[in-house]
Amino acid sequence: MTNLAAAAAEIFTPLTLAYIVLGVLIGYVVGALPGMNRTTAIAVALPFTFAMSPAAALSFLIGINKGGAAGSAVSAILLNVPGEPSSVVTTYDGYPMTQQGKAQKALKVALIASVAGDVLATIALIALARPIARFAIGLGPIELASILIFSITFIAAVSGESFFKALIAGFLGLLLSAPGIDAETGLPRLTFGLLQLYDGIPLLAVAIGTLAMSEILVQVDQGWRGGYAKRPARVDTGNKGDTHLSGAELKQVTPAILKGSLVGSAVGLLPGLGATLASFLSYTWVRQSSPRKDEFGKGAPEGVAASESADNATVPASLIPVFAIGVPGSLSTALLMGAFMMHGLTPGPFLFRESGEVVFSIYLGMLLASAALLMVGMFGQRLFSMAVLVRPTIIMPVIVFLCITGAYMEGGGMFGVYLMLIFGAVGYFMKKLDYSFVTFVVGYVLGPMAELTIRQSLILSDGDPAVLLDHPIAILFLLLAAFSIWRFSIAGVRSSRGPDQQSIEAKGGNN
Amino acid sequence: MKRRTFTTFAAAALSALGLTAAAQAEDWPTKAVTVVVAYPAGGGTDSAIRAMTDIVSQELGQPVLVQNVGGAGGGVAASQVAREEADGYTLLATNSTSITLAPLVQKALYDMDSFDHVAILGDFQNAIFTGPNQPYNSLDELIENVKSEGRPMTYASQLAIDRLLMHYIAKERGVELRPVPVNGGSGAVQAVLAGDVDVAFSGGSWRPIVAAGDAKALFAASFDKLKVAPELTSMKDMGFPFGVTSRISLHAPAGVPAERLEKLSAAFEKAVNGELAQTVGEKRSMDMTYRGYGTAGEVMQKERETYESILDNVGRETLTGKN
Repeated sequence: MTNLAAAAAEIFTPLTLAYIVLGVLIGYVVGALPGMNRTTAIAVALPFTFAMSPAAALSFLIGINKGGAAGSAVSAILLNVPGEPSSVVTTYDGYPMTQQGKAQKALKVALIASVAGDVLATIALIALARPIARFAIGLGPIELASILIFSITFIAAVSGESFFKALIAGFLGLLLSAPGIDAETGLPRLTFGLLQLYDGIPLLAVAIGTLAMSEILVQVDQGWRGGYAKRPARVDTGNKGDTHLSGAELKQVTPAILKGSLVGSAVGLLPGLGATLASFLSYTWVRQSSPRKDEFGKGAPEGVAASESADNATVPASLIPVFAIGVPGSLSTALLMGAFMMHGLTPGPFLFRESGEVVFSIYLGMLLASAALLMVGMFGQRLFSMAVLVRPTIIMPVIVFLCITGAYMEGGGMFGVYLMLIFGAVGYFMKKLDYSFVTFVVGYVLGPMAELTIRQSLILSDGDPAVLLDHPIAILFLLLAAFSIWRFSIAGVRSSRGPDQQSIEAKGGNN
Repeated sequence: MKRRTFTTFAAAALSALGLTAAAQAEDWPTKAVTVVVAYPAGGGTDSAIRAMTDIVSQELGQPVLVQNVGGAGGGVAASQVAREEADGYTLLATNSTSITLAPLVQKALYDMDSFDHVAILGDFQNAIFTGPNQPYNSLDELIENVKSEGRPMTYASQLAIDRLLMHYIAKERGVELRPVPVNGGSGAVQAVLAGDVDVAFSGGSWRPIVAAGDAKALFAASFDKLKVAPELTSMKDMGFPFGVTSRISLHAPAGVPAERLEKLSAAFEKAVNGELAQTVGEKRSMDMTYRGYGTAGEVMQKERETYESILDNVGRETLTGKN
């Protein structure tokens, strides 16, 4: 209790509160801008926090992370351009809602889902950090490999009507994750002698190309055919039912938010899986378990809620191993751990014993960041939704500029820009020919981790499948994977043959 | 590029006017100095350099810009800086192994003599550590345990430096080695804590974890004892003729005039001994001991020779995959 009082005294100062709001705001804007990335924002902001108190500094940085996770939904919903890869499935239902004039509603659902996922995962962090982290760290490569294999089978589940095309795109994504230094031998593989490819193809440059640049090309293409004259979409129908969330609708999205938060927390906790996988799994789960499966992909608010709550829940959840054991699971948490150390805090069990007060302050700061997120989101949405009203001839060059800047920062200079442009063209043709770019991105994101954990498992088990008997969790996920292959691919193959199937439109484009 | 040619031209013109070399050296630097950090922002090398820039720029009287060029374990930055003009305005801050060891084990676009070695800014405190519940507390007990159970010794393999060291130890002690590839330092910690592998090599992240009782440190990877943990057995104590130490090193493209290197080196000496850099070193378990121009070259040369000897011992094909 004394801890709490001291923590409150530390956090509830005007300056600290201002830092938290500022952090969330920066994150939100960076998240919403295609091409800009929250991890980079944290890296850039890190040196500015030296002068702050430890609690203020960490709340500020975590605020950037939280804001980024929520902000990325804005451009996904309004422009069909996800601000970050983790919001790619938000476009499935978010953009159709915008096209129906329900942009405000979609944004509200996304914001409520983001904040709820955030708060729930933060509470999990506060209440259960140490036991959960112990459990998570005990999950070795064999468990992780089976979880990843299971996740990859979900590619088939979101394929919709073009089942084989989605698989092709997914495998193309996996293939793209192959170049780089081979983990086992340390020798370069498929790098064509390019040093820049030694760490693999820079993910973010490819993501900016396939997710943002390609959409610009598609819209330019439409404009060329005479689309410039009319407004691309209406923000509002003026109809209250389309802009406001009714109580019934809130009830309708609540299960999706809870499921999303659960998936997001679980995935965030495990090292190296990341927010993109979380939103993808959550979306698939909510869709599969929904009685109104047909609505998904055509503007179902649950789809937006599932994706966004999972995306945001990964942020606090990924801090659980950092707080409790001192092991970061991703690049952005590694940066935050660096920030801890810069401020004289050593993450791990000592953190609570030695600096309990600071930890409470950070917890409080994180909860306040969630509140700030709600506030920033409310105002931000109004502002950002005006982007849709701006003529495409103005907004598109701006996005292209942001894409190039982002690719330059993320992809190692001009090399990243070239990659981004190439994959912009690839993404354009994928959209035109109805190859799912979601499965492409998911395959690409999961590939390296799946390969590493599977190879680790094979080495550790000496290739003996009997090892699995000691890993019940792994068996469970492998059985689920087998079931999911059977369930989705049989259904998928049937539906690609059937003339009037009832599956979702997994199209990236808006045609 | 154009501006650079202009500067060279201007410099040539000035010296043609009869200005002495000494006067020129006093004027140098006349513009911002860029330090290319070979790793992404937020890492150990990066935070050490960023803690020094204020003092360095005061000493030089010019701004110091930090540029992060990650990739290929420092290889991307090193090959980029090696191609820069040798005017002292572009420096490379990296892990010394990317200069001494990397060109030996993989095809690189540079070698040790592509650089002038400006200074060594600090030593990483490399150690081998293991999970808290493993039955062994030293290398000897580990070897005994592995032999009695008739199994290979497993370790979390990340970089050329730990592969080299572990292959060497395994060969000397006559056990079979099974490397398990992991993803970076945190992957190694994860694998050790989960008990998936016997041991892992760590550049410094072992310290807080060991202090918290979540892991045990077995021995120091360096020849001499570690400054941050003098109680830990070193490679020398165990009777090995070699040990490995990775360092934060500062380089310039080969051919920079010596007086400029000395000036840079002196500026960094003040910075390393500054309060901020020392604090960062303490927090991140790095021994920030400065070695200047001249000494740095010798240290690098010695490091190179150690790696060559170990490579000869274990056989080059073990690490390079070629014969």
